[in-house]
Amino acid sequence: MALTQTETWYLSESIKGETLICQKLANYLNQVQDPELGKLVLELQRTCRQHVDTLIGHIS
Amino acid sequence: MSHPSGSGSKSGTLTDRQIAEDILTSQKYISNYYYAPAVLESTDPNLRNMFQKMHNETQSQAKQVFDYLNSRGWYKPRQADAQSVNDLRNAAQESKQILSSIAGEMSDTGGKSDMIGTGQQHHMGTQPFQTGTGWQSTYSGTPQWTGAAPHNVYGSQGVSPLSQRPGYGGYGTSFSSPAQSHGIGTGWQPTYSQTPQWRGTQYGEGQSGMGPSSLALGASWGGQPSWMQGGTGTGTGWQPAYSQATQWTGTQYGEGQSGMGPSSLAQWARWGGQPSWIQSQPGTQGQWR
Repeated sequence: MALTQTETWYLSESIKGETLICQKLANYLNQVQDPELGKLVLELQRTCRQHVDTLIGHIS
Repeated sequence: MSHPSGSGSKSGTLTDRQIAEDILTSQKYISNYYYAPAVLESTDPNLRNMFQKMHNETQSQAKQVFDYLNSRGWYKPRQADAQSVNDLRNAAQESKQILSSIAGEMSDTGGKSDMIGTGQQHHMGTQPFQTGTGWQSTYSGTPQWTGAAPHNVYGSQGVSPLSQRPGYGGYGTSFSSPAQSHGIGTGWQPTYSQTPQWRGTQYGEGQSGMGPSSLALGASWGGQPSWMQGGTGTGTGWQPAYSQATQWTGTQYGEGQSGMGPSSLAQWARWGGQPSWIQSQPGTQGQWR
């Protein structure tokens, strides 16, 4: 199914948003002091990357 | 340890608390401003499901971050004060009264509304109306729009042909405004405009600062908008301010490109001008073709 203009916009913004979050999480991994938070950040980063891959996969 | 978690930080270094707060903020943003409206506005069911899944996952993980902050005392939602709770109770009571009055109106008409057509039934404000092919309401006592509706924007299935326009994101029928039905032609009766108008306030929406809902903005009208008043009393010669009546210019034509956020309805509710794409189609008289 061809994408609508709206869908294209949301896909684009979501990809950019998730990518930015991934970048921040990567930086935070090196900064966190609390191992519990570190574990959580790692988990979030994994999900974030999955989201980016899924979003990109939908347009290709 | 270079710095204690949750307290001050050195320049350029974030504390654990700041990191967690920033993550939570990011999750809220992408979930509320991208995924949530994308679910509502996606036409492709696969895409909709994908956005829905991501929305759920993001919210679930945001909860984890919240729990982390909360467990350390860094995020303690404040208890509501007595005044706020009292206001809430009043709002609830008012809502109950409104709903009761609606029930009374329904019973006055025999417990049902005299509607014809096969479209979907909507309840906006106190007056239910139907968006099928040619509807009537018993409330005003005047038959409205009983003529043929060759340009019925809702269509026989209650689906706006707007959704067929290129780029339309698709609110579908859920947010269809009767204002879009104007400009139909000879069947028009001015009283129609008073009956099904989207008041929004009927349920108290918008009056309590409920946020950026388009309904809330619509509620601020409080009555018949000026563009409707301008067209009344002319019978069949009524020329709708079609630029207002037919416009649904939010999402389908580049919403978000202006950075105004995800709510196309919010833009629609506020916008008083005629968009350029209408001007570029002379003779359309605001009709969707």
